[in-house]
Order: sequence, then C-alpha cells, then structure tokens
Amino acid sequence: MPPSTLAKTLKDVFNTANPIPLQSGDPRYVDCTAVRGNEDAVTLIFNAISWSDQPATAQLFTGHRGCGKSTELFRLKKRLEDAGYAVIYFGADEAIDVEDVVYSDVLVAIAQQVYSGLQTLNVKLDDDLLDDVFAWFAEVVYEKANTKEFQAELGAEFSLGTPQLLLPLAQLLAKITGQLKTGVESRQQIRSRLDPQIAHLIERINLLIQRGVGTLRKQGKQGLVIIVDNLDRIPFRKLDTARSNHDALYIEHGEQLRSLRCHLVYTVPIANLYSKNVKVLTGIFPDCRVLPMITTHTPQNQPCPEGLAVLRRILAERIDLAEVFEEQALETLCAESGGHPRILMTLVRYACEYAANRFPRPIDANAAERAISRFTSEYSRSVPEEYFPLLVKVFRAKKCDNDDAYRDMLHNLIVLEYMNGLEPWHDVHPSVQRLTKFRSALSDA
Amino acid sequence: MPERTADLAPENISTLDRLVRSIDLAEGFALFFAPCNVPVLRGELILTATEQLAALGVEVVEVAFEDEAVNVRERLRAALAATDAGTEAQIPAELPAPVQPLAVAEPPTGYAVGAKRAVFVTGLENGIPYDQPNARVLAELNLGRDAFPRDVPHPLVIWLPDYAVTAVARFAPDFWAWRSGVFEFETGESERSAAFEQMNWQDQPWHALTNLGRDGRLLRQRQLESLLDDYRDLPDTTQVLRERAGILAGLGEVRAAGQDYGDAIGYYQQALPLQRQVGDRGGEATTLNNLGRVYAALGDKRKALDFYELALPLQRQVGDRGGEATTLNNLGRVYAALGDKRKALDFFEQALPLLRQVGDRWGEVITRWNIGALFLQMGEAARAEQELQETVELAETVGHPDLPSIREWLVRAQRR
Repeated sequence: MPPSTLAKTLKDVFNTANPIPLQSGDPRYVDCTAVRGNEDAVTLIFNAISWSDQPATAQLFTGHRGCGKSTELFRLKKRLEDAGYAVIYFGADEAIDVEDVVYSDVLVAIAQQVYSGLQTLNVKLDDDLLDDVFAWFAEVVYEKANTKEFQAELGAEFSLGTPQLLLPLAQLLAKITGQLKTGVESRQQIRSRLDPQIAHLIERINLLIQRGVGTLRKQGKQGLVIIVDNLDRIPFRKLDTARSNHDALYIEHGEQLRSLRCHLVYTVPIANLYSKNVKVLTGIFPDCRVLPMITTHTPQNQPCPEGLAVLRRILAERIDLAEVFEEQALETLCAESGGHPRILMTLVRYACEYAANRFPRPIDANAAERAISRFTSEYSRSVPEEYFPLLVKVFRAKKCDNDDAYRDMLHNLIVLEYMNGLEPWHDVHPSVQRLTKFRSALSDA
Repeated sequence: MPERTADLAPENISTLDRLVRSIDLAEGFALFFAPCNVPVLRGELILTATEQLAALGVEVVEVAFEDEAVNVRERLRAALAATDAGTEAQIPAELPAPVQPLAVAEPPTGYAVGAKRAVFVTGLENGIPYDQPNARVLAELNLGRDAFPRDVPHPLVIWLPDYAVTAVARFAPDFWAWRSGVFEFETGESERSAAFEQMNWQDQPWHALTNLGRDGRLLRQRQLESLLDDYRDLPDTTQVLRERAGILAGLGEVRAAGQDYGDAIGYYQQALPLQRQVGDRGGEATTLNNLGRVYAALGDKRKALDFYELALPLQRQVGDRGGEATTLNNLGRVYAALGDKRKALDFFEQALPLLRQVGDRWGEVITRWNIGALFLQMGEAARAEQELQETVELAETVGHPDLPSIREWLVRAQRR
C-alpha cells in the first residue's frame, strides 16, 4: 500500500482497523516471525511438506483465536501453490456442524471437498472410479443397491441446484454432508452406518485422492495438500469424566484422520496442548505447530521493544501514525493488546470513538485510556468469579497447568501464550489485569 | 427528533450518540452490541437512533426475532433481500431459501437507491435461556461468524438484555471477538417501573399463561428475567423488595404454566421470604396458594393441603375474597382426589357464595363444574346432570373456554 492511501481520517482509521483476517497477499501483512518466538510456523509446515519424500504427511496447527491463524494459513496456501502444490483449503465450520462433530463427519467433509476441489482444479477422474465410489456411498449410507434409480432420484432432488452439482457423486456427497450438518436424526443414522465401515470409507477417499494426485503430477504438480481450518472452533465438551469431545476427535480417531494419502494440515484448539492427554496427541501427530502471541513483554514483566515495534508496524501498514496518534497513546494501545493483533484493532476502533475533535493526532492519551477501560469492562463478562484466584497463580508463575479451567481461559483469551526463548510461557491478558476483581485477588493472595 | 431524546436519561443519550457515530463511521460489516434490559426503553432508543441515522442518510432495517431464533444469518439475509425488493423492486441475485415467517419492519421509503444501511436485530434472547448458556443460537453465531460479513455487509447492532450479552461473550467468544463496540444502556427508575407495570404480573392467572403457548411464555420468562436482573443491584427498599418478590412470583407462574414444577417451586420459595419481609400478606397468600397448586399437580396432596391451609387465614385477614374462593375450590379438589367427598363438597359450597359476591363468573363455572363432577363420582347422576346443565348454560353466557369439556361431562352424566 503506497503511503498516500494510509488512513488519516478517523473514518478511515475505524475502517482499516478491522478485526477480520487478512487474505493472502494483502500488503498490510506484517511478518511477525521474530517476535512470535523466532519460529515461522508457516515455514515449518511448508518445509515438512516439501522436504518429505512421502506423498502424505499430517500436521496440526494451533494458536489463540484471532492471533492470525487464518491469515497464516492463507499465506501457507499461497506459498504451497507457488511451489507447485495443489491445495484444497476449507473452513470446517462451513462444511460440518462444529457444534456436534465426530471424526466420520470430518472424513465425509474431506471426501466432498476433495471431489469438488479436484473438479475446480480441472482434474478429471475416470467414470469407473466415480461409479464405484457412488455405489459404495449409496449402499452404505442409504441402502440403495440400484445405482441408476438412485441417481435419478438425486437428479430430481437437485434439479434446481447450481451447475457444479450436476454430477451424481457431487449430488450424493452434498446430500450426505447436508444431512450431517443439519439433520439431527439423519445425522445419527448416517454415522451409525458409516462407523463400522470407516476403513472402507478411508479407502474410497484415498482412491479419489490417489487418482487425483496421479493426474495432478502429470500436470506437473508436486502433490496435494488439504488444509482444514476452523476445526479449532469446536466447543469443548465433556463426554464423561475422563474424555472430552476434543479427545474423541483428535486422540481416539487421530489415526483415521491422518490416514489419508496426501498432505494434511488440521487446526486444533490451543487448549488441547494443555490437556492431560497431550502426550498421546503428540504421539499421533508429532508435528504440531503453535502460533504464539506477539511478545509485548518478558516473563519478568519488562517491556519487549521488538514485539511492540512489530505491533506498531502492523498499524503503520494501515494508518498514518504521525497524523493520527499521539505517541503516548500509540504506545499504550500496543502494550495493552497483549500482543494480539485483533485486540489491537478493536482497541484502535474504540479509540476512534473517544478521539479528540482536532487534527492532527486526534487519538490522544485520553482517548486511548478510555478505549482501554471500556475494553477492560467488557472483559469482565468473559471471566467468571472463580477464575480470579487461578489467574493470580498464572500471573505469578507465568505458567498454566493442564486443567479444564485453564483450558477455558486459553480458549477465551483470558490467558495468552507467548514464546521467547524455547519454552512457551503464559500471562494474564493486560485488560484482565486491570479488573478490580483481579487486583483484589492479587492483594489477597 | 430532539423532543424524543428529552425522555431519555442523559447517560443514555450520550451512549446513543456514540452508537450512531460508530455506525456512521463503519463501512460494510461491523458488529455492535447494545445491552438494554427493558423493552420500553429499547423501543425508544431504536426509534431515536433510527431518526438520527435517517438524518445522516443511513437506513435502518429492523429485524425482530419472535421465536427461538435459529438460522439467524439466513433470516437476516432474507430480511435484507425483502427490504431490497420493497425499496427498489430489485430481485436479489440469489434467491434466499424459504424461511420461517419473520417480522420485518415495513420497508421505509424515501431512501436513495443504494443508501447506506444499518441492521438492528432484536429478540435473539428468545433463544438464549438465562440458565442454559449452551444455547443453539450461540453456537450458530460463533461458528457461522465468517459468513456474516458476506451475508450482512452492513453495520449490525444486536440489542439484547445484559445477561444475554454476557452469554455471548462467554459462549460465542469468536463472534464476540469481532465486535466493534458495546453500548450499554442503563435502566432508569421510570423505565424500570414502567416495565414492571407492563408485566402486570398479578393479572395473569395460570390459565391465561397456559393459553399463551410455549413461545409466548418463553418471551414472558425472558422479560421477567431481564427485569429481575435490573432489580438485582438495587438497594433493598420496601418498594424494591415488593417488586422483586412480584417478579419472582411471576417467574414461578410462568414456570408452573409450562409445567416446570421444580423451577416454579424454586421461584415461589424465593418470593415468599421477601413478601413476608415487607408484610405483603396478600402476595404471600397468593404464593402459598400457588405452591399448593404446584404440589397438587405433582400429586403430593398432603403438601398441597398444607399450603392451602396456610393461605386461607391470610386471605381472610386481608379480605381477599376472590383469592379465598380460589383456595377453597382448590381445597375441595384435593379432598375429592383423596376420596373425602363430603369434605370436598363442603369446600366447593363455601367457595360459591364468595365467587358470586366478587362477581367472578369464570370461577363460578369452574367450581360448579367441580361440584357436578363430584356428584357423578358419588353416583348421584340426576344431581350431577342438573348441576352440569346449569354450568353449561352459565359457561355459554360468559364464554368460558372450557365449555366443550363441560359439555362432555354433561353427556357422561346423562348416560348414567
């Protein structure tokens, strides 16, 4: 973005400080590698794929919500495509009911995405294969032995559909994923029919993948990568005393998830790395990449100038800083974000509302302070009373235990994970530290 | 426009100014929350904001959810498409899927084609129960977040009671994280009592609530819960305690009407000590009678009798003859169920003159129906037939909703 288009007016500042993720190639992207702990997660994932002599790898990717995961994954996709890979990227929330998800749903969604993705990539699969896969799904899921008849039924059902849905297999997969996503009863039925057949389901998906990859290679492609984003939005739920829905998906069925014959990148909730079963998880998926926060301070509560400078650059890519901010206000807002880019955007938006009626530098220390105190008071909605004593512990030890309460705190951005040096460490979000309840818990402890 | 703002408290006026300013600044999708507990105040605020935004050339599209609010995003998209069709007869490129009927404000006219819009959403709290944070609608907002900028490319203001905003923050954290502002409106003294008056809790007997239907009761329950929230931090003056007790009792009634007897008992038990504390014996008697009804409905006849017998002397003390008649009728029913038909008849006959004194003719229908049914159980078919014949006539005169059932009892008596 040339300097002339940097935001100068409050209206432009408000609109450029948008908490919604950047698409790949957006000039406003700032490389935060150095201050996220010197490890570029995208590079690590990229290398694991491109250095591998196997056609298949499986990696997990995690980070706080809103810390830039999707932005980084868009970047990964671009980089892989530039290096000659065919990439199928999809948000799990669009394809699956993330509220109630089991591994077979994920696999069916992948089947659908692979098939439609290959069509988009102009990979033509031969009819025998498609007929075989169609017949398998028709028989197992709907107990239809007569393929022709069933194709006609589907054709009638989808006659008003969009052109991509003209092919029978596309119609069938759309029907199954649709029912898995919306129909509570049909969902249970489909799952109960697929469950005993999982090995066969994987085999069918792998047939699609392997034939697809074969054609892609002839077109000069390096291979196929599937990126499943937003799986980390699965709400945590206890299934019984010992297991959660997260454990059931990534641990009990991790082997199935990783058994597809192409390169896989799954997102997981960051809190999963703080569950009692983390060792099992990393046993199944040895490659788990974390995108930590941008470091704004050290574990000794000293400011970290490099991290603050990056946050400032994130703003400088969007806003004419000298024109809009008083220096003090800018510093305060960056530090208060806790190194979380989206929170920084939100704070800047809030500050626009309290800006002084003057130019230049309408966002002064007062506006920043008022924005922060409003944001702080909104945080009080997310923090239940009983967390405060635990938060004091985190603040003192800069470390989380593997416990459900901490899992929720990480999940809801009450506690953030940082990385400078080799070991990750944790801290209470600066705005939470401002809450009266936190301060009184701190002085009581 | 200025004359209306004069009714709003100064802090609400300045909050509203900030909201209007933010909407004016925002281009495309931006998410705002407006916590406000009282429907009356919310209505005023929406009206004022709509006028102020109109002056800035921004058209407000208001979408009110009146049911449990599922498929929020699809329905917003449909509402926007409907507004498009209304203002400029333009068919949206992609026809929305058929949706449930939805109250959409009349398409306003006089806006330039392509004028900037803001979307105001109300009623999502119908899908966010006070005590069950894992509501479907929250999951939907959280998971469907990414599609909002595409489907609702306008500033979006979500008006909710305070508790529901907290539920969004806790249980739809991804959606919440995209907010560009939270504008908290305070309930003033006058709005609070207006809302309290509007709830009119004492005039809503059970059967009226039962007739409300499930959605109606749910709505009423949400309104009472937000009202209770407003009373939570107030100083314990007599007035406040009395009203708080009234809200709790009202919640008990709604729960009882929905056959959630356990919850109903919980609310009544919270109301009782407050009513005693402020010396509201009439209210206390009503609550005791209602507790008796809940236990009777649960089949615990002994407990039901205990509560009715506690209610009766209080009703007599305060001269609540209508209430006394109800309790006597209810006592009669319990004794009838216990098989003590003499005692049952005795209570029904005590109730009748009181009902006539206060002119409660619906109540009279019920008690006479009970008497007719009792005669039938006692094997006195002729007396039963006569009593039920007269009851049917009375029910016809007053238009009692149970008329068909009473007729069936009459037929039964005639067959004996």
